[in-house]
Amino acid sequence: MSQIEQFLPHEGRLVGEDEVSTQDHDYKLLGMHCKSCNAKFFPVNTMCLFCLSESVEKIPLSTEGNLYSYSFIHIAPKQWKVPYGIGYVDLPEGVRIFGKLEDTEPEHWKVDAKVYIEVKECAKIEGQPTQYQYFFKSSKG
Amino acid sequence: MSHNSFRDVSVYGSSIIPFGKFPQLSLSSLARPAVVEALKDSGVERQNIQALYCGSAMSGMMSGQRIARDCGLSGIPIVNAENACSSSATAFREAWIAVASGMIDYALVIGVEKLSSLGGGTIPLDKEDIEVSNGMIMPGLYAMRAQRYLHDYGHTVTDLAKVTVKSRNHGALNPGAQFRTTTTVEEVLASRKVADPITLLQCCPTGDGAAAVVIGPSDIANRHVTKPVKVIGSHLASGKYMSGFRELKVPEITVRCVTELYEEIGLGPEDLDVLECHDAFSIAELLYYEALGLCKPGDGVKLINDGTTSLGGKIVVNPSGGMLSKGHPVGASGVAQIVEIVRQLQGRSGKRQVENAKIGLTHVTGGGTAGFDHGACCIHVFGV
Repeated sequence: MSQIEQFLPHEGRLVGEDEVSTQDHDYKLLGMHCKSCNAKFFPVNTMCLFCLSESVEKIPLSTEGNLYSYSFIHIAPKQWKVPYGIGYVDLPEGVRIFGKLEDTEPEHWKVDAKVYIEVKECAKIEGQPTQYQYFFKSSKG
Repeated sequence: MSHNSFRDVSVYGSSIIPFGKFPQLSLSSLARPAVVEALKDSGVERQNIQALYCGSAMSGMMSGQRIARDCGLSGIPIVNAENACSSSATAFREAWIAVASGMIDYALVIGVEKLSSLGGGTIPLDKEDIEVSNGMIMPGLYAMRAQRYLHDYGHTVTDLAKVTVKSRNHGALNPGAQFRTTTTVEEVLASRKVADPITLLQCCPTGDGAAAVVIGPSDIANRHVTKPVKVIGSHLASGKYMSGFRELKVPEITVRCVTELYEEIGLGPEDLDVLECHDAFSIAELLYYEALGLCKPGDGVKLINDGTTSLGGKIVVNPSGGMLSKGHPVGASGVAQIVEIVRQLQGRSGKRQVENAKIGLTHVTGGGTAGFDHGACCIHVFGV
């Protein structure tokens, strides 16, 4: 088993190089914008999921959003370490992202609070493309 | 959708096994008692069944064939339906279409699931899904709905717990329910945490179960049975993909499915006497009261508090105990609900009988998939 595979089960979905903007070392998730119907969506795809146009472009998504709802999970399939937090974050682009919360401190999380998306680089494996993961933070930095 | 060329269809016979954990039984041994009794109840000879529709979500290939082999029904056309929690309701709908169109006369519909073979815990979801691969589980999705619901309407966890209390009151009267003892708000809230604010007693149990019905044309039903129950309407919807800010308090797929169905059959929520809805979690029952039009958004709690949806109330919801108490063997639940409503309308429900019930509805929805409210929703209305 590779290091990445060992890493995956506890942390969450791996995001490929093609799904992250690394400009100026400021990591951001990439979403899609359809030039035909103007839809915006996540994650990266080769065509518009609404109108099937191939005239689509990647757009860097905001790193700040509104926590629409969240929960702390205490019972989950074996691969997850419990407890962990999950949430839906609404971005200014009109896109909602699902992800894990950085911690399960009750006082850190509130419905409609401002939260931050952090994209981090995963442990690098020699000769393999870089992989990333993202999670939500309750405060900046 | 117009059904002008369809003929009327009735449920002739029905049966259900008590739900529970039966790891020692095979899938077909779970289903066989329900099949045999439903056939007997229907007055239709086994050799006159022209097609079998089997709904199951997690039983693997050929569940219908495995059951048919052990029930003397092999050789006829068999359709296996998978639509998550709506699997066997979808199977029922396909059977209804076949009989209503005149293609066949008599069909057997089975809902069956053996969750005990999965080893317990939460239902396994598609690992390729972008939310599931980040830790989404079904209780988590409903917990986030609950969190937003409580936040926006100012309701409390006590209000959620009361749904389970009501469910257990009904389940205590159902000899086939997985949980048959009453409970209290305190007990519900003190039970193990699953996904805040949802505790264990606010989740349906995993388990095994089977249910079966025989359907046929309404015009010759009286040749076979004295109390056929007519299928007034059937509707199936799939999730609509959204990338934006979905309102989690309004289960869009259920609203769309039931609105289209009410329109088709010319009936509304005010016409219903009894219904079984998808109460997989406490919050679910409240959301579906509102989605099915029983009350205004946010008022679901009122219906629990004033007894409207409890036995003896104006519109009884989940008299069987629902998924919370009767159990929710995923693919079996659609037909299980239909058996409950059919028997209610026939006046055969014993201590949990809803007085003078004439029109009833069944509602299942589910399939946790990113981008959808839910993957599928299937609703039926029955009448006598």
